[in-house]
Amino acid sequence: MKSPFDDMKVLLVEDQGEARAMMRNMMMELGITQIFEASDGREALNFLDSAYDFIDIIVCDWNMPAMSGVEVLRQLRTVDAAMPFLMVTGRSDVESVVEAKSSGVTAYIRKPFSPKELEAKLRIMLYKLAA
Amino acid sequence: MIFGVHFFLDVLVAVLVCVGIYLMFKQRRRYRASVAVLEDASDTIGNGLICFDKKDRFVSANSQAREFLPELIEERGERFGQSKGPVLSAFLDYMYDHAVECDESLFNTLGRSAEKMKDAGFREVILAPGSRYCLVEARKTDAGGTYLILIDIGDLKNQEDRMLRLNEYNYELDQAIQATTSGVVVMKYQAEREIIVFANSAFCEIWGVERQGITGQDLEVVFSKIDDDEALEAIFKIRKERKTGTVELKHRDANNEEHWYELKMSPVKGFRGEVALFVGVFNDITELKMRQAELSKAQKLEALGQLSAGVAHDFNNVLSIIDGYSRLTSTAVGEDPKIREYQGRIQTATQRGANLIKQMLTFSRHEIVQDTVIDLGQAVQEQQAFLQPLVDASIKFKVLSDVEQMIVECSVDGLTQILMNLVVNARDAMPDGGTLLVESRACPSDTLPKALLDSKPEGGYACLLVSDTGTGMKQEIIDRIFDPFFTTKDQGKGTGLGLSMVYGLVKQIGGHIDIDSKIGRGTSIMIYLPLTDKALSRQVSGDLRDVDTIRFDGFTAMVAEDEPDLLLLVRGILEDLGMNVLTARDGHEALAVQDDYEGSIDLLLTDVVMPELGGVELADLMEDLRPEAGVIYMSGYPANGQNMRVDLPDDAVFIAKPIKHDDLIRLIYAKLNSGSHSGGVNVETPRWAVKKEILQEEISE
Repeated sequence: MKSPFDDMKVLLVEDQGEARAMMRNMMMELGITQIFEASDGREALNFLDSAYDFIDIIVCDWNMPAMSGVEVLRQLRTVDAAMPFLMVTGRSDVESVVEAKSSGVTAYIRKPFSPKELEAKLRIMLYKLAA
Repeated sequence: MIFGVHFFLDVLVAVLVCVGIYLMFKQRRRYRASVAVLEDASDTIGNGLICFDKKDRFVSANSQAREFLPELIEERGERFGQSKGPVLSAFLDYMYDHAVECDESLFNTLGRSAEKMKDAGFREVILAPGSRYCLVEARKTDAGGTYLILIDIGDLKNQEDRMLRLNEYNYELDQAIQATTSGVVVMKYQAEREIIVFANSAFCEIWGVERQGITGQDLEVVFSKIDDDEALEAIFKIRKERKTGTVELKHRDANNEEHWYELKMSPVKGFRGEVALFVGVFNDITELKMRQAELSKAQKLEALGQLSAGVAHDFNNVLSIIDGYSRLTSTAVGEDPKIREYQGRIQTATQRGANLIKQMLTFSRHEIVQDTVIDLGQAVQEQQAFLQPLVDASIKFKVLSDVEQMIVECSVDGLTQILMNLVVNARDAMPDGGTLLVESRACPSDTLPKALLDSKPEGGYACLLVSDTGTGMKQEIIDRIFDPFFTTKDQGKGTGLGLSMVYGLVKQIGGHIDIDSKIGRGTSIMIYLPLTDKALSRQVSGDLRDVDTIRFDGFTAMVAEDEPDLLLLVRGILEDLGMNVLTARDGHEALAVQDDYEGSIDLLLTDVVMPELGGVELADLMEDLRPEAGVIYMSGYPANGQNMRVDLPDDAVFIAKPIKHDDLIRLIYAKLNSGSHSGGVNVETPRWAVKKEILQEEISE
């Protein structure tokens, strides 16, 4: 069966290796084949600089050393207001959610999450991408 | 002859007249001399003296009298003295005109100068020229004359004024010290003892002693009542060193209520610079102490909250990896039952871990809590079904609710968490059985704890009470009871997070917790929640027998339907029933819309067949995202769902198109009442019925 995510190109930004690998695996299970990885915000922005066209959506961890997910998002939004951005977070306090929403996040997902939850969030990204 | 007789007589008369005149002059000279002698003599007596004869004519005045009233004596005395008329009255008039108010006691101190003389009924203090005070007294002599005695009382009068002023000052000072709410006591060293020389009424009230007769008593009368050895020692030290010092002490009043006092002691120096007195001021600092304790507790819990939030975040990351891989493993290995089982155990464990973290975050107030408005009494009644199974049969379990509505802002989930934790703790405190009471009631402002009196919201408070007749707790345990990970239960039996979560929840709602516990008697936990005038959220009302009466006020529904007309129709119906409606034209839009929506979604009404993402898939994803939402499928296929190309879940609730208004309402009614979701549903039961049931239960016992 053809996956709805067949053609989706994802940039996965996560500083922790195991977490990154796990998310990559989950996405692969959902049928995503084009996954690019960055281990911090700086690397992610550099990647976008050189390979912007290779990326449809960004899945990014919030808590990262040196450059947080929100900072990556802010930088991205200065050049691209539309690229779907999924924020991955262990936080769920009101302040954090408000901050994420106001900086232009497309959706956010709370850790720990099930593959189904990730699928739902990615479908939202897909929907926004088509819009 | 006759001439001779006449002549003789004339001469005789002339001689007699001459002799008479001579005698008169002589007499007068003697009289004058005697008056002068008298005046000279009277000069020596120190007091002023003015004499009048029996016809009230002025006779004389001594020098002191002249000094006092020079003008009067010169003008009236000397002048009128020549005239025939009485001048005493003129003198008395003058005295009356210059009389001043004088204390009766002053007269008496002056006494009587000449007891022999009769009181002439005149006694007055006058203000003589030169602002001199003078006591004037009139006396009659036996011979019928009158004396005015003038006594210089300037010094006495001044002294009296000073006394009066001092008295007034003293009185005011006394009134002021009596009026203060601080207890004031002044003590004096006397023969190795400390004697109370002054104590105000506040002091007497604090120590439960009579003010009458307190003066002169040994201070031991009071100090013997102090049960605080540490404080006593500090007091004795200060007294010994004769320095200024402050001591805090605990004392139980007549009602056995514990009070904290701050005693400030200062030595008072006497004339010669020696410490003659000691003054002690007692201030009630109970409230301050309570606030301090409350504050330090709040600070401690805040710090613990931050710590646990930090730990929770990192732990969440680790858990998410374990959980993620275990789920991936299950898809990778296929149907191997053994691996399935192991994998299931891993997932159960990670789920427990995730729940723990959720609790920690709840305590540290980092979890989003939905604002829902509930009737506390009703919501507590509805919890009874969940709570009953937690309680052993040996425990008598009662749930009581006030008949009045108590509208508070609290999620039903939150209330469940609070009640479950408290009920489990109460149960564990009664291993041998007892009575467990859960009660909700309105809280009159005079029964509020002190901590809430300042921040009193306009609406007042409702009180949720969970009390047991169990073992009770020591103060040391009560002090730490809300600390995260503090538990008195055996290893593995409690996480120590339950009550800290309750604390966090109550604080988020803006409430307050009080604990009253007595060893061997039991524990009562009172939770005060602020009342609100907001409208009740989420209430199913009406009678199923008459569909037109049914309403779903405050519920939120998501309608996903790709046919625009039908979408509009369903939306219209639901909105008319008081529901908040979110709409989407397909599954993906529905996902996006729900993602943007912060509140809870109670119902998903979805078309089965939609492009891209169908209803069943949508419902499947929604189950993970919005576990609270109940699902109703809409489809053009026959009502039994047969012949459909899509596999519906076995327990799916299904409505056939074209949609019938009444059927839809009945289905929603059933769905929202089924309790298949965790959202709070307030089914309107007549309140009297609930109360009646309880009453009957009580009567039958």
